[in-house]
Amino acid sequence: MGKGSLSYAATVILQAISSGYLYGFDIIDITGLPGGTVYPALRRLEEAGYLSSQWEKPNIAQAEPRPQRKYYELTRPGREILAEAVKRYRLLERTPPRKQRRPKPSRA
Amino acid sequence: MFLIIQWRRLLSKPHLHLIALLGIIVPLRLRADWRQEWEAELQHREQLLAGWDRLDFRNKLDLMRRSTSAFWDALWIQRQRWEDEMFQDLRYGSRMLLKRPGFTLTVIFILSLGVGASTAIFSAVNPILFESLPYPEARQMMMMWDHGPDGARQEVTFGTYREISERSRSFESLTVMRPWQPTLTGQAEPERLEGQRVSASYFDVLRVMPTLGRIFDPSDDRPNGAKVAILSDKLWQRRFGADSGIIGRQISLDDDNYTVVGVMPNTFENVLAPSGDVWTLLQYDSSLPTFESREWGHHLRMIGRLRSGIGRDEVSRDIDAIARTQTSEFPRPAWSALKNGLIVNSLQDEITRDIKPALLAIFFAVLLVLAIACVNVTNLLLARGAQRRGEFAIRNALGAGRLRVVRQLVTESLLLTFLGGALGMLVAEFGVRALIALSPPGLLRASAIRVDAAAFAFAIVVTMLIGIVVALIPALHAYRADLVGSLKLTSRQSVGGQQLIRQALVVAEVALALVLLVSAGLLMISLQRLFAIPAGFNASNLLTLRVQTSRRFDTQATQRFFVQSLNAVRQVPGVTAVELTSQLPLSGDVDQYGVHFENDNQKVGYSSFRYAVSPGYLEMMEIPLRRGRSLDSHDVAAAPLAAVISESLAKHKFGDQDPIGQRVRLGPSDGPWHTIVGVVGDVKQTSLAASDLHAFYTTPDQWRFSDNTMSLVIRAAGNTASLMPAIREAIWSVNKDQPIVQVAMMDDLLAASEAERRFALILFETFGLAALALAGAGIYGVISYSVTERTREIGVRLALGAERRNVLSLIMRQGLKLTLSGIGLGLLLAWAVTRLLTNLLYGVSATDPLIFGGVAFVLIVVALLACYWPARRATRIDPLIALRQE
Repeated sequence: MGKGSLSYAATVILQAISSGYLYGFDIIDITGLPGGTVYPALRRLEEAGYLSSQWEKPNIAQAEPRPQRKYYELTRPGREILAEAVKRYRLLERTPPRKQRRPKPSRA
Repeated sequence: MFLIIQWRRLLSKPHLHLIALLGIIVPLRLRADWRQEWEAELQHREQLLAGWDRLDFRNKLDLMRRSTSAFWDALWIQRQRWEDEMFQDLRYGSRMLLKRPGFTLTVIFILSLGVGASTAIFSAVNPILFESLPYPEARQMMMMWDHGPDGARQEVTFGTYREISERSRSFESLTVMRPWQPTLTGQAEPERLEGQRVSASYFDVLRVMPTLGRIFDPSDDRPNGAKVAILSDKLWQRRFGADSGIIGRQISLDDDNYTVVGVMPNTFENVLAPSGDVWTLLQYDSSLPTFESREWGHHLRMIGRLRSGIGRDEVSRDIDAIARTQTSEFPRPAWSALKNGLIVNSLQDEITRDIKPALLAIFFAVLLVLAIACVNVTNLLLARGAQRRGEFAIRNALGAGRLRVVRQLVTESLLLTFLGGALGMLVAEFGVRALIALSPPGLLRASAIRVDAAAFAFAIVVTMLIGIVVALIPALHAYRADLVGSLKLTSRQSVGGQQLIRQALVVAEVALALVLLVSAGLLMISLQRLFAIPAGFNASNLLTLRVQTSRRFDTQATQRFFVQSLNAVRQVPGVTAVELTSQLPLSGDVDQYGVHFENDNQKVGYSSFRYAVSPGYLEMMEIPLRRGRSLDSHDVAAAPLAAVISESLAKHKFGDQDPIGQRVRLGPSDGPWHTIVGVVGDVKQTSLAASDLHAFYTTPDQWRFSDNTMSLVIRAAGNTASLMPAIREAIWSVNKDQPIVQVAMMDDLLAASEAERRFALILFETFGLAALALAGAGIYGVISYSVTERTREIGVRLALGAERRNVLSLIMRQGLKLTLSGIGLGLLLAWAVTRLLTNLLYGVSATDPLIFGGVAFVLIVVALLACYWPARRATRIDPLIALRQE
């Protein structure tokens, strides 16, 4: 996956993450993409160095109770390539403003 | 019960089980992570909807669909791993193979020989036995035979052909043919050609069209019709410089002018006369004037092409019905009355009938060799796997999964197999050349023998099968083995199971080798017994020369030519004796006539070989005189007709009575009476195995026809063959237009007459020796390995006072036990299998106890030799060193 050749789906996923939708099923819900597209894309993006990931502590999930979440975060190259890709896919520029939902390991 | 619980659990959350299942293909190191994420996703969906049990069918289905979409994710990760690790395996594998060049080369060598030999044999067998004939819809082609007096196949008469072609509705076209050997004369030296006289429909039945010109015109196929010829591409290239203006030109065949009407394509393969170069029309009389004419002689081969939709059973019924109901329109003579109907069989079966048993036997033999090679390689790999236990254990300890280690092994095995297979293709190429060089002359479809796509496919399939066998057994072993255990273990033995498999493999190897060796032994004895049979004459240092005179010669001219040639050759310095005969023993000549004795009411005569020989022939050939006198120079045309008969004919008719003075009619029943003047020893005419020995001899002067082809038999002081140029000059000094059609030493004819058996024998001997060597190597490998494994045990024995002699016998006994088991199994197998060889055997039973015993003995000797070195090594073990090893 060379620079600037980000697919539309990948761009949408990066956009979702940068907008604060930080784990798999949240991304699936907000983007409307199927899981069979989102998860492979997440792995590809992570392998390419655009994302990093981290599991939340099990006790947090158990307390809710809900499945444990794996949180994704944009890396610096990820933010750069997203900015470039958004310029190409002009529609994405008009997405709703950032929904500030940073993970707070102590609570979420 | 357990299963039901499992099933319920599966039904309760099928989507999660699906994820668990898909997770298998995800690399272990990523699996937990991957599964957790997907399960979280699905649980999340489920939570959003409701509990699984309360979901409706549509939502359940949706969850299932979501879980299956994980498959692509799993596969994506998987793909990466496969590539990475496969290259890693390959790199590592090649490195391991290079590190042990001896082992690697041995395995590749064994495999390439196995693949190569079997591919070569397959490429020879395939066109003859398995491929259909090289004609369109070849399945529809049938061959028909009459029944001879003894029930054997007999060629049909033209009358039968006429009747079948008029009355049968099963055939699209039908044709008859007979051999023709015309002499081509012209600017170049005279040459005798091989060819066929055929009815006009010949090329219609084969469905082959000429590249130049046309096929025969039915209106020419009548007595005194136009003399036309069709040439093969080979002849056209060789004699006429591929001149496209050949059509319409006249060529001289047997001193008659023939118009060339066509040239066949170079792809045309004529299975009915493989070396045929020229065709002309039969030109028999369709009105069948009298029963005495050639139209009623049994000398034609008949083939037909069935209408589409007609099968062999239908045509057989049709022909039977025609044979049973004779009509007034088609009268039949007694000898062609079709009382037993006709034999109808597919052309493919008919033309492969003689060679099929030999080829199948050879094919099975080579498959046996291949099996032995596989077993041997498997054994080598197992031994190697055992040596590498430590390495595997370390890799396992460092985190390599068990499957990973197994895959490494499989990769190495496959690498070896494919290298062996690739080299095997080369071996096959050479093997095919050797086969063609070795093959008996006139081997059917020899031109079709090559390493072609089918043979290539065969080699690939064989290689892959070997790969699976050779890779799987050691791999399964490694998989089952206790890797952690072997890290602790050094020389103390815990690998009994492995030894068991290796021993079983050696037993199988010995058994297979025994089958091959027994087969080779039986063939060898057959050939020996055959060549031990006296041919009935002295064949050594005898030059034979077949000369064909011009058809233009009348009887006197022909006889004059032969007498003059005889005298001219007698003048050649060095020649001590030269005589003439109308047919030469063991040369392929078959000239038989019926013999009727006086006061004998039998309608059908004794079928006997006819020899018109110059006086002195019997003495010169050293055919012993049993009674009466030999033929001599007084037996000229004007003298009373004399005949000498063979011992076998005399015994058959007269028993112990004296036949001298009895009268016989030789050939046609309206012929003159000859008086029997002598009885001579039997001579093998068709082959050394032949049992038809009835024969009679007359002088050429006293034979009612004149032979235009005769053979000179020449003896000389010293090397007869070196006199050939002078002899040729002498004959041409009489008349330079008469072609010498065949020159051969009698010894060579003798050898050629058994070429097929010899061919089979050479291959079986080669395969048998290969099998013996492989079996020996297998035994050596197992015993040698076992000595290594038992070093400590042997050391203890020696330390406790065991004699070296005891250790030697301990190891030897172990090897012998394996060998004897193999031999026992092999004897049973051979006993079941060798009867397939019956057709190739002569004078020996397929279960000859001497051969079976002899081969078993040879195998035991080889096995003892193979065990001796490892056993001796065992006796030299130093107990102190052995014990300190732990």
